[in-house]
Amino acid sequence: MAKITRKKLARGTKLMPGHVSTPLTSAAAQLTGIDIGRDQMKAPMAPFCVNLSVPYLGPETIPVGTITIPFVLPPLQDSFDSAQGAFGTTAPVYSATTPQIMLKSVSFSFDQRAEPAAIASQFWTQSGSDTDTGKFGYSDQQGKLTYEDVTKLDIKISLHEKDQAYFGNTYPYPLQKELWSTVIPESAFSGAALRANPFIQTDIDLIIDPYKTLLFTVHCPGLTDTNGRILTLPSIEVSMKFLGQLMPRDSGLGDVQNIPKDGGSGENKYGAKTAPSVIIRTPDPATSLEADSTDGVNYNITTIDEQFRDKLQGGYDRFGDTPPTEVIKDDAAYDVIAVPLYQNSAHGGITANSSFLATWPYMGTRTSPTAGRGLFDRRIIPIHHSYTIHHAILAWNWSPYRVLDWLWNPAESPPPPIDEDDVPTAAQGALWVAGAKEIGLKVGIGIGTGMRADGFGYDEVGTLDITNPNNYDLDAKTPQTNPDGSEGWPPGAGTTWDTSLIDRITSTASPPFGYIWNSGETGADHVRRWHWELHSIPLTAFPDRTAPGYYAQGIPIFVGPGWTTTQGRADIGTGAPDTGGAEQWIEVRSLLYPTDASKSFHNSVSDVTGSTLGAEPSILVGYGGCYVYLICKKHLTK
Amino acid sequence: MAWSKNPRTVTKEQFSTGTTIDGNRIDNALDDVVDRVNEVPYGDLRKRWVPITYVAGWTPQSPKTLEMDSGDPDESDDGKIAATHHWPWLRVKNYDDEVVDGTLGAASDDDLRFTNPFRLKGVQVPGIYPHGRAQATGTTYTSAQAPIGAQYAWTRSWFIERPSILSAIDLVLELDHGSATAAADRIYRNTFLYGDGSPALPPDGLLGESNDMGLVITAAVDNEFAKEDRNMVDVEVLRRRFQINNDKISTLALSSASDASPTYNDFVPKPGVTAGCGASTIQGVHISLGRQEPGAAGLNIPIHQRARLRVSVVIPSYPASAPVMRPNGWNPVALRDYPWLQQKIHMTVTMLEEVISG
Repeated sequence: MAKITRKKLARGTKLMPGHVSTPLTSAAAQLTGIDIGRDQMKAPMAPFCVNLSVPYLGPETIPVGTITIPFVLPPLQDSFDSAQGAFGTTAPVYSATTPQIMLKSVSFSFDQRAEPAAIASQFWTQSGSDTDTGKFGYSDQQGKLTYEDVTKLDIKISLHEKDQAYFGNTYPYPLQKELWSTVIPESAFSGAALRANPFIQTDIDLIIDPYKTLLFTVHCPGLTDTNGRILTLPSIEVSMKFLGQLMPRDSGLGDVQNIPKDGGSGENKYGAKTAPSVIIRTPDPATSLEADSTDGVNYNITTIDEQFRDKLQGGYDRFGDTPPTEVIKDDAAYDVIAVPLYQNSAHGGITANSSFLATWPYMGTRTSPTAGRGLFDRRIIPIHHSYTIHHAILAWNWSPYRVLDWLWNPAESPPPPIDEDDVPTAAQGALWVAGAKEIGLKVGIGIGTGMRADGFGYDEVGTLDITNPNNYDLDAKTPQTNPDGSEGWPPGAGTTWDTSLIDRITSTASPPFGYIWNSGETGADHVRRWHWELHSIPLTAFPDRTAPGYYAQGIPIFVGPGWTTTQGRADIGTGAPDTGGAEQWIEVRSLLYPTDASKSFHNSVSDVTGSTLGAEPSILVGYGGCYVYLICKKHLTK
Repeated sequence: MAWSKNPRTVTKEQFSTGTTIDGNRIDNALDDVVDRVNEVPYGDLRKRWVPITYVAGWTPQSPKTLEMDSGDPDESDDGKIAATHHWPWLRVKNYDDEVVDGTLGAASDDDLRFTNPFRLKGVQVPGIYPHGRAQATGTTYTSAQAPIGAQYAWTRSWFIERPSILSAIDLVLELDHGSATAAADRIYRNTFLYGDGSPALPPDGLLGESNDMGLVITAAVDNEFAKEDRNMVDVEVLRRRFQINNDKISTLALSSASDASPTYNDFVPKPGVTAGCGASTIQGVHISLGRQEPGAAGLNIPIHQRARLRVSVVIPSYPASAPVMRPNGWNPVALRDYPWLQQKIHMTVTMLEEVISG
């Protein structure tokens, strides 16, 4: 529906001032009211991408050649209408302001070395001479081309959805619906003259439910081979492009943390817009309509025309600065920054036995793991544009895998890859969620300044601090197998691991296992766990404000490079930001650590079995690593 | 006649004193204004681009895990090497030695022609000779044969469906602090220096321990008419032969832990401070293509629609024999070939894309 209307000048109509000035005044009101909204734009949508970077996918996954990665696209804080902190007891609330998100395309690629060939894995064991292949995942054929095996690269990629546990989905947390999938046949990668790598499927046009968990899967069963011709997909890049509606940007002291105090539009604006002066003068009654006078037709139309000739202003420049005057109401859009953690580890994931644990830095040596040391990783994300962060979501991975591509088998047939004098056979796997109470996780999101600068500083944007991933209570010996013998996993009570839980996801038919007490509290039962967990990372709290979201958190936080005009910022939390309005990067850190500082992960007690984590196939980080998703509002820029 | 302002954008109708006027022209002009305001073309927006961020990176396997000095994969069954993959780094040069033994193309007389013997353009660096090196003495002449040294590339590629702008490529090679309290916390130590000359040689013409120039960052778009021919790609940006150490993250003497002097506020988990967190404050280099400068607009490289964009980082592995160039920053142990383990990797690619009708 048109936003402004006018009366048509039918033939013979007596020309009155209102015929000219009324529509022009309406047009001017759109400009001076800063009311040019998305409903009156020819291009009212903005793209955003969920970009997933996977350094490699090998055959040692379970199932073979399969990696799954979940993500969520929740409404931003200003349209997050669902109940807060009501895990499992409430339904999502959809309102007229809930944003519409549409999947448009999926791009998928991996590195073939620019040849119509597959790439040999580090587990390749068939070659001209068997002596050139070591047993421990170091084939000297790794990374080489094999033209004969490209025909095995039929790759299925798919996108699934499921209800979130936060909104009532229960154990075993399965996927519910395949939204989209395609099989890229090997012929797409084997042509000498043309290959579909990168591959893209466009015009998918799929509406996404913002309160559901989405899960992307890459499945390439041809990576393994009974003759040892084992392959890898290196450097996978997945880019899912979505469209979201343009929306107003965040503004206001007390409504956005770290937002620039001043801008091109003036002082103390805190992101608020200043309208231009667009004056349409109506001729006085009983005066003639003229062309060139200050209330003339030509003059008034030119007044409107000037605004369009100078282009309509909105958004932020690269220094977080606003134009002097603006007319665009909807100058922001939804965005996701997907940040990988714990990727590309020596074995695809990280397990607790010291021989494998020590491949991660700072953990000590294989023979002497350092007590108290945790698995630390971080990503540094230089930024060149401004954002307001609305939510931060952690996707923690417990996906099982085959360490050194060995099918875990305590009967030792086939034999384990490493002599059991060095590593117990039972520990040469990655199948059980590490069964210790004494495990903690800290995830922090910060903004930093100081690259090529004469200062250096950080400020915190959000943090998550949880412990006890199995919700063990050693006194009550819970969780237990359900009295009826069924498998079950009650939500955590009295522990902190689930205090910001959004979802648990079982993404294949082969989830990891976990140990719980049997119903008689006399022994251990193993039960199926889940591959992934989604946790909300609460943004830094702001005094006297509880912002919308899954759980209590702070109001949105502006992040953007600044310059002289935009260096003054609103507080973050209770104080002025230590980045001084000059943030240059976002930093995401994670630390999974033994809460008993006298022990390493290797010798932490596995509480139900009484053994140690290092003697069991204990997963600390699942195959492929974890992700943090920054759910942001980004801005029109140039 | 002096120029005077007249409507030129929203309508082509002009009204001036002394010229004819009729209702149809006013009607047309007002129609134009109303239509323009009700349906604003995207070209009318001064800012109509939005950023899209591609983040990648990882902490590689600790090189301290590799307890052997020999580096011989045949001996990996001694229980000391637990894994040594080098994904996603792959050799830049495709030739018969880079084909799996016993498969088609591995023998030099096999009937296979490499589509792209060199898959990246313009990435040669000092000290590495992909074609080998011819040498002459007073009595002998040796022709160029096998490559000397190697380069490994990490390539990220995307199908860019709509016209876009490549705005920035940021590569951070993160190291551990040189004064980390425990040697176990100094894992990643690439000095980005060539060998000291005794015996590890620097490239010809350079002094021992001079700054390394072996890193290359490039972005290229496949040719529309020869998509698989890497000779024909359009190189959009290429940074090579630069002294890596000149791009340090910070020239300040940052402390290894954020609670040591000079202190700075931090967020948890705090490296070197939070219990169990063994890393240090960020050190290393940040190579920024399209960095923030007043008046600059980043790389500002237009990428056409339906383009296949490939962003590559290339690292060197210098020769261990004739000319002996190890140890050096990338190959700190003479007999090892693990340049990919000497630093943590962070890469962010920033693209701009226009608003769209849906």
